[in-house]
Amino acid sequence: MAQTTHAQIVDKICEELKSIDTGIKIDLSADTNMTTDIKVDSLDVMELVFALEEAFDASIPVNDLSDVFTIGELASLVQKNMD
Amino acid sequence: MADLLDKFRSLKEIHTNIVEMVGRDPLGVPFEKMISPTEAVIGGKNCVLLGSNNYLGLTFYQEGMDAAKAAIDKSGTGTTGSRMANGSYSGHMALERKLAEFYGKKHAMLFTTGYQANVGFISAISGKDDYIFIDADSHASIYDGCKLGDGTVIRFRHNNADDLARRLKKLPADSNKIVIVEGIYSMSGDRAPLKELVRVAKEYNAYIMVDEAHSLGVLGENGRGLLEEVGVEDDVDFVLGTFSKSVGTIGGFCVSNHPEIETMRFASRAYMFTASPPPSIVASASATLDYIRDTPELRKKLWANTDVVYDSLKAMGYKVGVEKTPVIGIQMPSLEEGIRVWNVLFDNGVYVNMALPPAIPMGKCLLRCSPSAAHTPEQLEQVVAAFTKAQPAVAA
Ligand SMILES: Cc1ncc(COP(=O)(O)O)c(C=O)c1O
Repeated sequence: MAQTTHAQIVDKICEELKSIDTGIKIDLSADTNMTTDIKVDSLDVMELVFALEEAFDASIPVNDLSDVFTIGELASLVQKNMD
Repeated sequence: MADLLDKFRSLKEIHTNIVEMVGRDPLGVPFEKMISPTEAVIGGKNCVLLGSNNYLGLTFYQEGMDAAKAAIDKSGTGTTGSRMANGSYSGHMALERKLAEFYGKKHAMLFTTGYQANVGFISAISGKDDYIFIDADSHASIYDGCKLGDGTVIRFRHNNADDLARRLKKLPADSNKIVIVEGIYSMSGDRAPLKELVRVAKEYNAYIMVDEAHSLGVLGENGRGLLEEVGVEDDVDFVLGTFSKSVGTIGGFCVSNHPEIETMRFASRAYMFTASPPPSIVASASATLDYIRDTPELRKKLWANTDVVYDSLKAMGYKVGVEKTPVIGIQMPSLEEGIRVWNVLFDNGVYVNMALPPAIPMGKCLLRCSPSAAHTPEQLEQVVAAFTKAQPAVAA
């Protein structure tokens, strides 16, 4: 797991986000803002974070989520909290 | 310059849309007159209240009302400040002793509401190097207490002791950790799997706190909540609760054997910087708490009524929660369907709570029912009849 790259986490986030129907279909990338670009709500974010934590055996502080807006930022946060 | 309150715009749109769909505002229903704990006049007609957390129906408990009136005559209508500034009335101290005795704990501390108890307790104990583990379905007051504290907040999957253990395992063994859960969850109505959670907390040397807001007076032989029902009273470090539901008044509390609870009075800002509960509230809470402890028949009635409501709803095909408790959340397949059912119930004289996004997922709707020990057989018949009328499109 220690070898997991930022790009792999971004891919996983994009894959998870595709299963959430927010009514907005755009190409997702590390720069996509999850709230303003695709309107993911806070409950979706909670489920998304759970899925990522399980996929990468991470445990992410709730405190840090408020600074996260883009897919790339979320991937960095996941990476920081893997062990 | 933009309008400062522009940030409310999306909320307002959602609300306006819902009022339009329902034909009235389900989040601001005017109760013209209270008839009893389970009946009110709404829109000029009598309605059965099936959504008020009045589990034991004690808002009209005669001795509670008499005690409140006598306390007003004796001590006035308010305390006009916090206990730090304006002192502790004899009623405050007597109620704290009573609570401590009721729970078999050494210390009890009153707060003005249950919301403030959670915010005040959690923010005070949450230091920079501490870890606070909360269930994902925690009440807003638990989330808000976490926001005001300095500790690291970790959320685990609802009622999932394995997920909690996985996360606790990652932390240094010598760090301070506390696990925070609820006795009965306020929307889904399920209990915390407390035995397992306590075992996991102990294994990783974490403290554990239980918010018994919906389980005080509801669970346990003597009404001491999930702790009593499960038999873990000696293993839980802090119990928080409220008088706003089964006790039929308002106020919050924390009980514990931890000696530093007394120091919390100088550390908890939601205790220090708000007025203490007024004498009438303290007096009615005290009288009603005695009655709850001494009257197991109330719980029997509540659970018998819960059987009727839960079993009927389930038999009719409504999507109720997996556990049968007096918190019955009915999942509606869509917002439109939720509104339709709510309206049929309302037109047939039955009032339930409607929970809407953003509190629950977008496009969904949850109808929240809470049976009471005070519901009469006739009222329950009316409830079942109303749900039967609303039923066909639910199955569709
Ligand atoms: C789990 C939980 N904790 C605390 C509270 C707050 O209680 P109070 O009404 O006393 O502020 C509530 C009530 O909504 C609740 O459901």
